Amino acid sequence: MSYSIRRSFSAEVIRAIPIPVSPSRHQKAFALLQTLTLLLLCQFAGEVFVRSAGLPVPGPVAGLALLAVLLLVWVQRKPDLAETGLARHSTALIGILGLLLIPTGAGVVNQLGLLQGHGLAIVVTILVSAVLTMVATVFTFILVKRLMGVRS
Amino acid sequence: MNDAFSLWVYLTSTPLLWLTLTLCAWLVADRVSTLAGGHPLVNPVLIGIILVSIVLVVTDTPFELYFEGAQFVHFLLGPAIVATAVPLIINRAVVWSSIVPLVAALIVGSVVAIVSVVWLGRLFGLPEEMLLSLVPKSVTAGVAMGIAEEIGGTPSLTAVLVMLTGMSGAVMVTPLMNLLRIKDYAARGFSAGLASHGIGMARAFSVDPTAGLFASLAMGLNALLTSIIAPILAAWLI
Repeated sequence: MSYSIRRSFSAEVIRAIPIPVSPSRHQKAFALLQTLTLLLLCQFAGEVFVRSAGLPVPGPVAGLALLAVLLLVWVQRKPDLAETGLARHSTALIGILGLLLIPTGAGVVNQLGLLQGHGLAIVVTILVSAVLTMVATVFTFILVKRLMGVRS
Repeated sequence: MNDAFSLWVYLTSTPLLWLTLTLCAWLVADRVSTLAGGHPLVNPVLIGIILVSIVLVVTDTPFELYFEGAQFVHFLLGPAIVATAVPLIINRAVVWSSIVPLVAALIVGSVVAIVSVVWLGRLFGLPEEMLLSLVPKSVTAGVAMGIAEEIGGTPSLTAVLVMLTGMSGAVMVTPLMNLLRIKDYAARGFSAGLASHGIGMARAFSVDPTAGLFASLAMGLNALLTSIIAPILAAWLI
């Protein structure tokens, strides 16, 4: 990171954020580690914050908020966030989100006995409720958007 | 034969086998889903879970043993959620321009998710303890279990209900939105993430990047809002 920045608080913050900037081939593996470290640091800080403040939010979601704030500061100086290794790695990680949900899912299959013979009633309840929730959400979103005159 | 058996015993006791199984199940599931043209019924998460479950049942493997290997995959869920901050900031202009519809949809959706499941559950004669466990079913598992505990439900039952809800939403969202002729992917994604958390979000990201972005926002915000309103609504409804 050899680009020149003025000495100011935000510059210090930007310097402190280890965002992989250079995608040159021999640095790719290092950039991947930088991304992982940054994500883990944010999650860690989020977890500590949520636990000590007793907030009903999962640590990773607080970490998401923290990373969003850091990136908001970062893009003030370097607007090409989409070109960074961080963006590429994040897209890849989000692309395998489904894989990451398999272990928990397999655990749930193991616990289906907890439904105690109410299986059918529960499945119907959940299906109908999911439809109602999605319909209510999507129509509210679109109606309010139209009322505001925002084009999609 | 005895050697093969001791090799098997050794392998099942290391994380290697179960980690490899999880990855293989995902690759197969992803392939099947791609071959099916991303059809909503051929959900790769669902197929992956079924494949793993079949292997666990056939080999008589306790889930705890499987999870010792699978936990490495499971662990990445945290960093993946943190990583959604990146598309969020890249697309901050789009998000900011829809902030009002987003908040309105969040409030309406969150209330409908809770009220509808309690009313329907009562209609179908579910016991009170199950109704309480159903209340946070649209919220991501970790938070939902905490809410269930607080309002007097059963956290482990809630985990099952959360997973069933996630699957239902992820499978139904595309046909439902097509039926309603909704072409706004921000709105589609937001409703998927709100109703069915991480699984809905995975589905949304596989359909459209904007949909995925709004699904991740919905998941995070609904976890927050539901943990505030669930105790109030549960006391009023149940």
